[in-house]
Amino acid sequence: MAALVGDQTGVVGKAGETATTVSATPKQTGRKHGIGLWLPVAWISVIVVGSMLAPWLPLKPNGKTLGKAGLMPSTKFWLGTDQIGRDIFSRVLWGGRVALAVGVVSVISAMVVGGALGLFAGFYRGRLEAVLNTIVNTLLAFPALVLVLAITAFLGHNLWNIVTAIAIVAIPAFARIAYANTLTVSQREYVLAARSLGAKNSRILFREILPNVVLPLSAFALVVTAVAIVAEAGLAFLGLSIQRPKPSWGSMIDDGRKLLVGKGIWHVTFIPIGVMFLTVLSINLIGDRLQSIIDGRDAKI
Amino acid sequence: MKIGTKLGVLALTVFLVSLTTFMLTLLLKGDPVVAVLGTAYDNKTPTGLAQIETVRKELRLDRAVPMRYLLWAKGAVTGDLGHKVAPSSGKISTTRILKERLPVTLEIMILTQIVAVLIAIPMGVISAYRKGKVADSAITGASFILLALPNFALALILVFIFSVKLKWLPSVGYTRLTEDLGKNLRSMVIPVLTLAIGLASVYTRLLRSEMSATLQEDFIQMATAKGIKPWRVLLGHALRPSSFSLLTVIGINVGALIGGAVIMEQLMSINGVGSALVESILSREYQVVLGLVLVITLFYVAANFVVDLLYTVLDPRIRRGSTRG
Repeated sequence: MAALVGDQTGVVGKAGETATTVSATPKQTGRKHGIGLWLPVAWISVIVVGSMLAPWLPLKPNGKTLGKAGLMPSTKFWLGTDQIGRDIFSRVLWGGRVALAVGVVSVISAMVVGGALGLFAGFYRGRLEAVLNTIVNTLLAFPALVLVLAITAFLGHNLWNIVTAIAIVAIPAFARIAYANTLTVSQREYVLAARSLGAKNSRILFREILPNVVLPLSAFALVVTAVAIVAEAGLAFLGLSIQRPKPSWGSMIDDGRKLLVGKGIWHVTFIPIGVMFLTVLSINLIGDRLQSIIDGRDAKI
Repeated sequence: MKIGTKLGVLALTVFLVSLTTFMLTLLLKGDPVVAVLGTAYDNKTPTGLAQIETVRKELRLDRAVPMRYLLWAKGAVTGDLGHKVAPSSGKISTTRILKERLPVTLEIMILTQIVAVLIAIPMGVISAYRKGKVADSAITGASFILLALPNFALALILVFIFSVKLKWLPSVGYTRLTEDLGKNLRSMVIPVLTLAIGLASVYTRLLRSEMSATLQEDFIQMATAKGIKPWRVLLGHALRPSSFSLLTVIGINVGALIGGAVIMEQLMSINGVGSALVESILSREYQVVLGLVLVITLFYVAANFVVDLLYTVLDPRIRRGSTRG
């Protein structure tokens, strides 16, 4: 388990520099789902609904200069204006669409592909296992940034290519987690019972093992979601994600830097930082809670 | 695993990573000659055509694909890591780029690891010892919050506080160690602190979870029962067997910090290996990309190897060949 946790952290650390580990310590279970869960859920809902509905909300246009640069929040501009006088509020919601696409689409595709690879390797073992382990280890040793940059340089810098690149980088980690869990689940008594009752491999794989691997995998997926959002923001910060003037939280943070360092105007940078921070924190909190539910469930079995 | 087998696996990893990088460079679309020459590309005049031919030769595009890799690998083994090919770049060799940039990157990496470990050990030990108490909740909560803050965001907050408001530290730039030690250290504070705080929260969580398991063991009870002071039990008895995950992750981060501190380098205008890598990918200097990736991977692999050796130093059971976890 120690090595496993280590590897997860490694992947995560490379992808986004803010590593998170799936906590191995069992938490108290049976706690009421208090404010520590509902507040994050509420924040995520606001971000998801707000950015999904951005095209239909009565927002100010996000690409136009509407007022003076660097205005503080007011009734006219709820979150103020940025370095060229664009409305930060509407840009934050439009930027949320990028974060959402990366966090949901990349992570789900990586989970499906990586999960399937890990599941098969852990169940059938043998040569497949050896090949997969070599590939996964190579990809984990590979500088993630090089991979993302090469993929986006190959495909071009539009949103779906960024989503694809981040998905590809996340696959090995999912494969690793699915593989490790499949190995343990395969040893459980109910698998032996199913086998002695004459169940076919495919039935054991999909009816007995898969449901028990999906749960830890989805807890890990929440960690990866947070990392993916940060990774995209990092790329955008470097100007390597979707291109300006299209808003992304990372490029908005970068946009405000000159005002921050030069004039001490902080809100242009710190508002997108705050939004991203709360989003990532909320996802981590929800993930942590999900993990403790799984730990409790495992303890009961 | 025997040391020989382990070295074999590591060599295989290095080979596969370099092969993958090479294949990635093949995937990039467009004519590499056009990309390398940029605006200087000219296929009308004879001098222009001659230049195209030279670049094509330098990129080994006149060779078959497998030969290209083998020629590169032959060079790499003999210490020739290639050079920039664009005529405007002055054909700087990868080795020279490394000579310029590796010291900066290594300094950041080493200082970051030291600061991170110095923060993480007391924090992790206290929160494992006082598990469930106020100190533990505060430390766990703080590390949870810091994990949600990407390093460029944290760096900007530190820049705002220490450079803009308090004017104690420079907001950008880097002074070489050889020029002025004081200035050098001042320019290191924000990048190192930012990276270290991020790592420290990971290290603290790892140490806490492993140490709280160790504290349940009989030999700890025995030590406490003998009346040894708590801090001696914690640091003398419990820390060593609890440091395995921590060491693994420190090892992984050696590689990660060498190639992956790009955002930090860009933000603070520090010319490190990470930014060199990004620049060479964007300007399609494949030889340099391959060379830099090779060096980064070597660090990654070497760090993991050293960590594996340290395991045997830390835990005699591994040395005697009995199994552990």
